Amino acid sequence: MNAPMSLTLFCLGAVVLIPLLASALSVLLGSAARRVLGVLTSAAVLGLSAPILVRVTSGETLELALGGFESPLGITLRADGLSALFLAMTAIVGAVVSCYAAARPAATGKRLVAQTVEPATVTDGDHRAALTEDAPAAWRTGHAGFWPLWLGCWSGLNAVFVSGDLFNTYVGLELVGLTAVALVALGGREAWAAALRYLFIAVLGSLLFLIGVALIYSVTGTLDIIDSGEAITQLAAQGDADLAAVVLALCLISLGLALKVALVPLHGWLIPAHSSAPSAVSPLLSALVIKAALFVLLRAWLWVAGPLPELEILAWVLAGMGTAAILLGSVMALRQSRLKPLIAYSTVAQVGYWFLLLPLLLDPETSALEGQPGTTLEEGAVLAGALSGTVALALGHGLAKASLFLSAGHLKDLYSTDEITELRGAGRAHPMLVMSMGLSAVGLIGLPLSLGFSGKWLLATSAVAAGHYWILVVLVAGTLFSAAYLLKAVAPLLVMSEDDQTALTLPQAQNHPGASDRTLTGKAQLAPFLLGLLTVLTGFLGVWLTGVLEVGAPW
Amino acid sequence: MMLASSTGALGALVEAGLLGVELTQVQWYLLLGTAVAVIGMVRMLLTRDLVARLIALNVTGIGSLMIILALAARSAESADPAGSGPGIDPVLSALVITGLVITVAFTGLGAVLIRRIEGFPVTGRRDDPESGGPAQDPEAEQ
Amino acid sequence: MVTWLEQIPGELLPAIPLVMVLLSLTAAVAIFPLPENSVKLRAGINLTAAATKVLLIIALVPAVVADGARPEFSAPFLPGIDLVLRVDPLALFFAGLSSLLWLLTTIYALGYLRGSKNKSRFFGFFSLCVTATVGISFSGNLITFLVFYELLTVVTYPLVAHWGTPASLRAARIYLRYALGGGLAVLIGVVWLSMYVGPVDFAEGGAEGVTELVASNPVPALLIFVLLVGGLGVKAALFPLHGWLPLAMVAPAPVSALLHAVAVVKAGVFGIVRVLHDVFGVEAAAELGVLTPLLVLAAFTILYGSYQALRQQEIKKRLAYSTISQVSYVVLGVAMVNVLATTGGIVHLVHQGIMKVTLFFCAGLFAEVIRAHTVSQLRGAGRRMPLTSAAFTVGAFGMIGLPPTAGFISKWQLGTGALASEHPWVLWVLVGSSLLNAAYFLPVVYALWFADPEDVDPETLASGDAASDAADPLRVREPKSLLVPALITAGLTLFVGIAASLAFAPLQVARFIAEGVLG
Repeated sequence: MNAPMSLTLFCLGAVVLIPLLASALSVLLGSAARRVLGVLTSAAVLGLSAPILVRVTSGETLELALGGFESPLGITLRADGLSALFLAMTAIVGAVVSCYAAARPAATGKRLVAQTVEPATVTDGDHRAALTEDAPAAWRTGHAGFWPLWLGCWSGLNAVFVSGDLFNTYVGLELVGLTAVALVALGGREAWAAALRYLFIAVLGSLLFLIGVALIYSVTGTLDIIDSGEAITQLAAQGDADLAAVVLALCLISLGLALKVALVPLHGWLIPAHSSAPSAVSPLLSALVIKAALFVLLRAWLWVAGPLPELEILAWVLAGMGTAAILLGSVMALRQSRLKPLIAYSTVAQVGYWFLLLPLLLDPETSALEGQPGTTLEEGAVLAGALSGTVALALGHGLAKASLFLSAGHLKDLYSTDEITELRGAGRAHPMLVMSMGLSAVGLIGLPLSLGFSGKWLLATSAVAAGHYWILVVLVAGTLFSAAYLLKAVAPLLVMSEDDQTALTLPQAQNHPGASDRTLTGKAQLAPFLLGLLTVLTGFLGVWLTGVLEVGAPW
Repeated sequence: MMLASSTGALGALVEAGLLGVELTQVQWYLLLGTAVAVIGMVRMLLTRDLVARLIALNVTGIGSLMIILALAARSAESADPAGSGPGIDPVLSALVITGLVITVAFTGLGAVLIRRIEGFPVTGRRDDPESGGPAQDPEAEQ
Repeated sequence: MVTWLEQIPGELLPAIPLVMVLLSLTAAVAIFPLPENSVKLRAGINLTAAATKVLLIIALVPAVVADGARPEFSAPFLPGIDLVLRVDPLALFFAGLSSLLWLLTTIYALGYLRGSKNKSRFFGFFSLCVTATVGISFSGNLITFLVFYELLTVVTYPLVAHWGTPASLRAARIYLRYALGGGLAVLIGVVWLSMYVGPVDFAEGGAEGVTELVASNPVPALLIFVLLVGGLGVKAALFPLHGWLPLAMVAPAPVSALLHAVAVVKAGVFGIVRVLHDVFGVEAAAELGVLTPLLVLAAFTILYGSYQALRQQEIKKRLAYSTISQVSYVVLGVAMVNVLATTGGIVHLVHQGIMKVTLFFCAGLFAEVIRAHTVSQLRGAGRRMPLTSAAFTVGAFGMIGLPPTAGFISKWQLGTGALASEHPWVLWVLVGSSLLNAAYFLPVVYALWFADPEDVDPETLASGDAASDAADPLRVREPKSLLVPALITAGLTLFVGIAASLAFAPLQVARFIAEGVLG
């Protein structure tokens, strides 16, 4: 069952390097070969992530110093419970979406080609020329640039998840940011502006993060996540004045990452970026890319900073922003008339859940239940519960949102619109898509069984145990809101007939030339369905997830 | 983000141990870096012109990297009070170099995007008929 | 007495409740991908699963009720909390009802939906719905109950929305709103309670630690009780949380039957019984002082529902309000806390199910065969559809509580229980409700048998399924698969009334449960 240790460590390096190499290699290939390479790479990453997950589940933290250098300048890869879980989720979602993109090249974006006799020979650089010469140009579906960008993005994601120090975390984040911006830009004309806006935000967030990292280094003298955490704990124990710099660093890091994760009120960029991205890209952005920032945020708050009482104001500010995100995101989602912006706003709302735990981190006493007869709570359960709850919510969101965006994008490609009113009755022709949307809605609302339910349960119980009842109120409001907006999105698709039995007319599915016609109705629909099914089935993993998170936990 | 910049400035002030004290060279650099970053950020938020924005972003980047360089000099100072050597921390320098490379990469991407956006003005409609249909005349869109 | 249960190796015992749940789940999974036109295969899977389940439950009854066997299955779910499925008499009682009526409703639905679209989806969700109901009945702790309770909410939504018309989508949306709200209240109650006492395993006389909680912290305990019962009351359609039920009657007739008799409404009531008996325990509940308010609420709901039913002209709506009224008998019975009344309440769980399912089957038949939707359209239907009308009459008499129907047994138990309790006024509620029941059911019965058909719609005379009889041009022949289930349930209504004293008749099992709870 357990692979040998050396092999597992090889896997740790390989999950970063293999997608990176594949990304570089794919640039040299034609578009059909890129698809094959992409699917092979995703299978490889899936296979390489499995031994890591198994190893970590058995209770070991994996550590690998690449190239023989030790930190600070060497590259240290480390996989603990948190890493393994995010790695696994990314591998699953990434592999499914890769298969979808390979099956439906049209979903990878669109490119502008001059209407010459052989449009395929025109390369990207010729756009301008084609335009200035007033040659007729046209949008063509499918953009082979998807593959190198996405594989590079995947490499960056994995680098963030297994990075043992803040420097490599930064590099990984940048790789993710750069490729994500370019991926958005694949969506065509109206996506470019969104991509540019995203670019400004991404760079700004990275700069703030970088200054924060530098501050941490200047205080602790190390970039290693665990070492710096220990150094800060020692400083705190000594009562050193330098803690102000740590607080400032955390402020900058949190702000930078909040920009990247689109926490209200910094969410403006997310809506156009996620909703105008191509069908195969939106799920990756929403399910994976923002998770990288969340992951780093959890690392910074739990592993690096530890529960410093000085951070209390910041924690409350961020939790307040999280609450605002849940409310505002939901209200805005309810007001959307198009499917993809609605789902994008739902992401904004869901992001809020991941910030609610911060005040709990600083106040992990089971005060509310102390002295109660029969309470079964153990010491330290609040911290573990709050983190597991948040991670479960984030992972559940990854699966569910990927499924939802895939289905929505698929519908949009089918009917070339995502106006909800115009999609009325689409469920008749595509029951499987609607079923996937329903399954992911279960996960996003947090109904049992789903990972979302487990997450809400864990978060709610920790909140009650610590006496933070406000979290309960926020969770309830968020649940009701999410049910409302998801129902708004899904219910019209279910219309079968009008009351007077007249047939319902759907917008005509576009006549795609040749092969893409088949791909829209064929097996590609299985991808969102599979993810939706996983959303529900992972509902059984609550206990396992909590156990895995204990591996390498900071408490 | 204004908040961000002001906290950044405040932090640098705290860092520099300012307020009436004579500033060392390192502290001057910290302050300068913060000022440059803040100015860049403000400009970036206020301007509508895309190229100006991109340049402002670069200014912000330079400001932040200056802050880090100043920190590097400082931590080398504190690590080596004798003052021998050039007095720059290698790790933070590496951070700055990486930051520069990445900023350049982003700037390049941004420039490409801006060129495309401005070379291909917005269509009147929000939802242009998507891909795959019969070839579209760009004139029709302009 | 050596039962077959003892011959099963010990390690297989836990599988029994799991198999029960998986049986209908497997059926659902097998049905979903079936193509629309594989009618026979779908029917075969459905009926096999349903019949197997009925047989399994019948085989379990003696072992569980007489010998006290309690097969139990558990699997880890959340930290410190397991998913527990346990067979106990009350669970078996409810599961027996649901699987028997699942079988009959499936037969009915097979006929009812013949020729309509989306049958695989319908029967898939239908089976999931039964999975959830059986899961609810076998749940061994509050969190397991909650999981299946929410599952039920989700899987009934597509059933209510099945026709896909704006009206049914609206009804389904309102249903979902109510049910999710209620589910959320239950969830908060469960979270709160489990923070105090852990996983809240159901146990006769109250879950572990709850009695102590009531003694030490009465205010949170009271709030938790209100949250739980309030949340469950939504599905149980307790006043003022009943608004969704009359709307949901736009669903196909088999779904209405399922909703009213087995699944949703009953799940709510069953949950209230569980909370009262096996979470708080009647003594702790009495200490909290919640029983009398609950009793008053139930009594009011009974009268209110009956009064509203009287005002409805549409048959299905009248039946819907009648359900609101009848289901509260169960709450009324258990809130009176003595063996007689509790027996009456619990037995009504089954009796009301059988009678109401009969009425909905018949209402569906009337609607399908002679397009009769309102009471006035039923005039003279007795001559056209004598068997259906007879079944309807039996069901209606049962609802009124006339001997020798099942309804009489329930009401008799409740009435004697009321006299023996501290609340003899409840008897007047029963009398008043019975009078109202008579007032809204007897005119229907009268219209069926004694009123002259005004003008027979010529279309219905020769419409598809209902071939006219040569002898009597008015007489129509009902489709067998619709008629037979209705006749069976009508027969059962009479049978459980007449044979109430047989061993393992619902009444006896209910008495056994009541005695177990109340000592």
